[in-house]
Amino acid sequence: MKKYAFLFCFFAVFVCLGTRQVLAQEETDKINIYGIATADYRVFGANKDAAIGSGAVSNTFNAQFNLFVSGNIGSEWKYLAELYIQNDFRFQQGINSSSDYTQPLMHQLWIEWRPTDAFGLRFGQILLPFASFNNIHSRPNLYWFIERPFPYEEPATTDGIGEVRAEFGNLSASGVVRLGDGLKLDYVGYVGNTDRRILNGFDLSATKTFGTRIALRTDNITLGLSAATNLIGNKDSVAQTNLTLLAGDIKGEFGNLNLIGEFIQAFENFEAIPGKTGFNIRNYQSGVVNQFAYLSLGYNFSEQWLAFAGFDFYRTNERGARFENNAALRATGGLNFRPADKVIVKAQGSYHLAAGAENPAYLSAALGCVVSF
Amino acid sequence: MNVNLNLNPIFRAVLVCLFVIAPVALQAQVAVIVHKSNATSNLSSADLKSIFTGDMTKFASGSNITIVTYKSDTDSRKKFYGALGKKFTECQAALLKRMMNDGLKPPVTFDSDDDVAGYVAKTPGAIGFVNPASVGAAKAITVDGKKQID
Repeated sequence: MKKYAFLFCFFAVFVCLGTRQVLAQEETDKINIYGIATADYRVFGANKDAAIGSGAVSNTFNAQFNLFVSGNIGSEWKYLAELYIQNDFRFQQGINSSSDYTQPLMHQLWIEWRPTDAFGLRFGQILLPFASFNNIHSRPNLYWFIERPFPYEEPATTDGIGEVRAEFGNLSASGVVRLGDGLKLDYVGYVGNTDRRILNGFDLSATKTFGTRIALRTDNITLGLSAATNLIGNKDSVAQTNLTLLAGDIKGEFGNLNLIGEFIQAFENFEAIPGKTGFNIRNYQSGVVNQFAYLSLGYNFSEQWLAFAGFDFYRTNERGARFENNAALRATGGLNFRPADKVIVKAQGSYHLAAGAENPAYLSAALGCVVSF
Repeated sequence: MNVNLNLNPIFRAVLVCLFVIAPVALQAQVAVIVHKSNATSNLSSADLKSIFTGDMTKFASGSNITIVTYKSDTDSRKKFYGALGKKFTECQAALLKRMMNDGLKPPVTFDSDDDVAGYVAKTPGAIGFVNPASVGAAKAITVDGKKQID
């Protein structure tokens, strides 16, 4: 943790000094504070977790709060800190409990040198821009669904990649390059050595991640490709997971019709950590391949109303997978109502199908509200 | 008192243009404004889209851009986003994404054209859009070479 303590102190001093400078400057450089608050209630027609045999959950109440502090220091430097609090109350057979997400987490904490829009270097704790992940994972005001697509929902009927992804990096280079009239290229490359929040006591120093995302954009459509390699372990591990992720993503806006979609293929292997003994490959399955895909369409009837429908798919070759065909599907649809610019009320219904599971098919419904401030 | 105006039809049409159509047409346009110290005098419509979706965060001089817009769905807001060919909600979502992931400065919002123009006039790096009659002490710039967009 020493290096992170150093990083935090460095950041704090940098911000304090910068703030003194900023406050003396014109109003445009002041500290900016903004955020999201969201709450949703979900009901599962059958036991949500029965498919993975972890007990009966009939409904959940989820609350999330993201607080951002950002600012410019001069014309080339800026910083961002994001505090993230989530509470996932589960009502299980009359016993109320809450998840372990209740503690505030420092979700992002970085400084950036950006001399131009085409190039910038970011240093600190950085959310990795793999496919659409970090937009969907904790940005409920940007997308129309409540229950996120398979790759991003906490594992319900699937083994979401959420458990094995590297979520954070430490150094990235990124930019937006204008290739021509209306055509842009987004790029980012990153490295990191942690997949957990740096301020909550973890030090997974054996974990490393390298990755990139490039995307071509016109006014109406974005096509992105992502690739990442994650070596996941910790200081006590004798083996590490070698996870390679490839993804393609699409986002489109055609008049009142919007779409987002994504395909992710995750290859998972295990290997000994150099210098450690005691690793027995027979205890692990190598060559696990997980595939995720979703496509979601939204239609704006007006500035206030949007209807959406989507389809999710998951498949794995993992031994002992929880369903006969190693595949799960979900069809979902719902409505968004925007009574004010920064308020969205959402409703969603879904049909889940996991062939061969104890509860192969069930319905779920959710109602939620998101407020930006 | 009866006044008998016996006007030539062409002259009558000119008068109609001057006093009826022209004011409506003027209202149907918006001017893009920046601070007087800003060296920018023209932006392309593609630049404008990039600015109001958070892709372009700096002027050519390297100074950071502050977006100034409206709290509610004013005439100027409707006309501007209509001319931009983007829905306000789409632009807002794009800005929110940039704010949350890239630390983009949140847009500054006001209720009226005069307030927008007043803020832009006193804030280097600010860019906004107002009814041409409200430009005031700010500097109106051209978009694709045109003084006003509609």
